Amino acid sequence: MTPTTAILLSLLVPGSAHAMLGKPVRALAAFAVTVGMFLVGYLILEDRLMQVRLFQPFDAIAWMIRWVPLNLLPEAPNLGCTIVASLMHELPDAAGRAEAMRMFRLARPMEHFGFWLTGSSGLLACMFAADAHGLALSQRLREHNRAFIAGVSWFLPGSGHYLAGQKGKGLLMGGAVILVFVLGLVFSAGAGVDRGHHDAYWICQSFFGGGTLASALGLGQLEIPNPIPVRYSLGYTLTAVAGLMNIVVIIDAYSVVDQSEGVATA
Amino acid sequence: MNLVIRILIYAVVMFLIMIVYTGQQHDNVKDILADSVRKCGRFMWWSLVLVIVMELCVWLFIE
Repeated sequence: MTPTTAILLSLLVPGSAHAMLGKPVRALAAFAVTVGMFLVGYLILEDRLMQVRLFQPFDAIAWMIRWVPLNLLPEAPNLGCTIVASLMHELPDAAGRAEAMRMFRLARPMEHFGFWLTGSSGLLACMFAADAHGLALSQRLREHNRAFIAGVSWFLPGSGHYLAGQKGKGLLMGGAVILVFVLGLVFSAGAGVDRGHHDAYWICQSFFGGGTLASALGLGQLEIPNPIPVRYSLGYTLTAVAGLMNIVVIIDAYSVVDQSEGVATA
Repeated sequence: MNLVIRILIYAVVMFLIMIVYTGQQHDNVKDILADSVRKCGRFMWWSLVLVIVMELCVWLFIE
């Protein structure tokens, strides 16, 4: 199997590439984690999930987006699940459409946790696809799994570096990301991580999985404070910046494993 | 919000971003911090230039 095929297969049906590459346990884990998280999230959100698509497609690609919802981010990399969810999403005819659209704009109980589950399933699908890509390249057995290191970095910034042996660097880089995220929460009075209100910002925020989960669970059903604090927009911008900073940390952690193994084997 | 507080927040966030940015190029904490301070200072100067250019544009084309 070529590495590209491994990525595509893994994105379409998580775990399928691992199974074909002779890793049944990892295949089962990939399938259970990504499909399971998406399913639980979808059960909480139902059609509300389709309300947070990033953009409405223009006519030339509308037919394709109808089948493959690439505008549903960050869920889209969990391709199989998002395709099924998109096919299940049917708007009623013109007479009932206004009422249906009004209904799926309404916030659901626990929707922040639901959004975290579906969004995280997309990001984890990327990491399992990266793992399948590595397996297909027939790399030597590594002391640390690069995709795993990236995964833990996604959840807790800097932890990947810590596990790979760069403890000081991990604490410093992770601490910087967490501090910016916390500053954002403080400035937004705890309401800065809210996909229902700021879905484009939330895509960036979701790259810090632990922070987004803590906000979803700890802060509960969020509301825009009334009156809106002067620093509210600064707050949700900073939490988004923290998520973007964590992308750099994740990618660096992914490459640090190679460096540390190179030192160990030199 | 007071201008001094705004600048302070900007500087702190810039420094934290620089830690992550320079962290890609160094392996130990001391080097990362030293490079972050240097790059943060440089970007603060560029930010000042940007603000001046924006104010000039406002003065020339809008007011």
